[in-house]
Amino acid sequence: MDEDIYDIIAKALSGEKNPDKSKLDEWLNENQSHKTIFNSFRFHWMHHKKLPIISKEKVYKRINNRIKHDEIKVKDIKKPFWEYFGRIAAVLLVATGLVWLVNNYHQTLTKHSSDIVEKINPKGQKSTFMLSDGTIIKLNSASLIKFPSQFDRNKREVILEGEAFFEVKRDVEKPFIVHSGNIETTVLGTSFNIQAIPDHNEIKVAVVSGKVSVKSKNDTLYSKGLQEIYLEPNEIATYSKDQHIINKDRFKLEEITGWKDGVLVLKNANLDQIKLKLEAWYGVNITYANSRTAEGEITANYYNEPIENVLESLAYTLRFEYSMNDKNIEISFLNLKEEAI
Amino acid sequence: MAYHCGINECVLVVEKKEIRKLLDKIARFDDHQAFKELFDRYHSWLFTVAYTIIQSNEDAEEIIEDVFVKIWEIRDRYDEINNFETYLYTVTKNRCYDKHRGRTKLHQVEINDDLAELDFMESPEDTYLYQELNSKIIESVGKLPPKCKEVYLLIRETGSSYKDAAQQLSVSPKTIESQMRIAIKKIAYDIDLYLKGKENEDRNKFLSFSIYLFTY
Repeated sequence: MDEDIYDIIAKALSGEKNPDKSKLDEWLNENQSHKTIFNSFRFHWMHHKKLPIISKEKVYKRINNRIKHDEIKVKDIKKPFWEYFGRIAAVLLVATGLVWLVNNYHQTLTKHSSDIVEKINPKGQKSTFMLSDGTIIKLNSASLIKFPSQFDRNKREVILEGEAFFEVKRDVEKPFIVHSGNIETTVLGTSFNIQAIPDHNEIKVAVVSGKVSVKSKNDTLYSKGLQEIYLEPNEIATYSKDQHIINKDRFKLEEITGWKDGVLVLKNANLDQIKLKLEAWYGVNITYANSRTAEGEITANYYNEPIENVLESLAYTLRFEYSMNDKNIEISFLNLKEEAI
Repeated sequence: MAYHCGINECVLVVEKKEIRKLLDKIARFDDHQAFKELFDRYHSWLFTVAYTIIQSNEDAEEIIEDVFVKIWEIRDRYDEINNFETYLYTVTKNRCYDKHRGRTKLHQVEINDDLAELDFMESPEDTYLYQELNSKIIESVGKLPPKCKEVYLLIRETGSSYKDAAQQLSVSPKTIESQMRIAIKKIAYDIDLYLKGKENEDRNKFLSFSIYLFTY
């Protein structure tokens, strides 16, 4: 490399007169690493002092205070009715026009004026509640659901992370849509179960009654386009997150929806799957005291059993002992050789 | 190298989709969690941009605060924004200049106001790269021969001309010129070496990534 170029860079950085601009440009355009080198020099010269680090938590707290405050302000406007009367008439006219426009030209109405309700179940807790339209939702443990306190005029939308069973109140005018990860489930009125646990590779939609549409959203790099399938009762759709494919199959009712009636279902489950399931179901924390000696798959149903009973039966099959201290369970696997002695 | 670029682009495209999803959640459901994720992702980059322009820790933090409050306030208009990162960058930069203009004489601070000079901070990835390289340069400056280091630091930190520096150190301007050339050459060599090492690392990452794809 030409010695001159270093001279030119030095002069360009320090603001010295007469750096050979055209020669510098020529060098910069030769390749990307020349550009990177020169830019890193510029960055370095711009920061005489050591770059400070932002106090992240403090700044976020201030932002949060301001945006929360902003919401309260909107709600707090309370003026006598008559001050508004004239305005309301005008606003109504405009609003009707707007709603018409939005409905006709914009399928996805973005809204954030109404309150969003968020229900979160920690591990070990299930819940049941009714939405404003009469739909009943049973939310499994370690799951979250969000919905507006009042639905839109033309659709009912909720977001689910985790597992829930829906009994949707029939309303042909307003389809009920569940967003869970990449999967959108649309129904008019029916009952079905959705399992969309963030860490699992699969999202499952199982229909008990009625008819359901399941769509994968076309927003990943690898997807071959939008996929939509229709499910009848006793059919289950399984979406694989890494392959972006929806498969249809049949299912046994209790295996999928048993949880809502207190049935803990294990089907061909290995130890790690069992561990996750018990932790979510009972809100406990399970640790292994030693490395595993026995591998095996378990298939079993437990009807509203306390965790001790479940552990007893597993301990026998999977050859382990356990100790329980409040919510902490430690499992020690029996050494088969020692056992023999 | 073609394949090397390929993976970075892949990662970028996936990330852009992620951002769109976050924005969608914020716009439709007032999702505070998604908003926090957005903040986590971008605060450090925007802070560096703001600090570079306005050269004050406190001011840069205030600007980040304002920028994110604004992002929250305009959440029903996200679909008008083509490239969200470009938007963030522009809003941050403008906010810096607004703030600077609104200052009383008493608090006047110097700002880096050559806009063209900031073109390499337009994306978070680039900015992180230059932050990383900056610490490499500082390391490299530490290793310069004493005379050379003295000249380099004097000129960088005081912004004095070659002529003034020559006077101050009682040497000829030619000596300053040659010492500066040596300093830049040595540092450039170190950065180049570091970049090559990084490229190899990325290639290895790509290889293990393809093996991963292959096995699954």
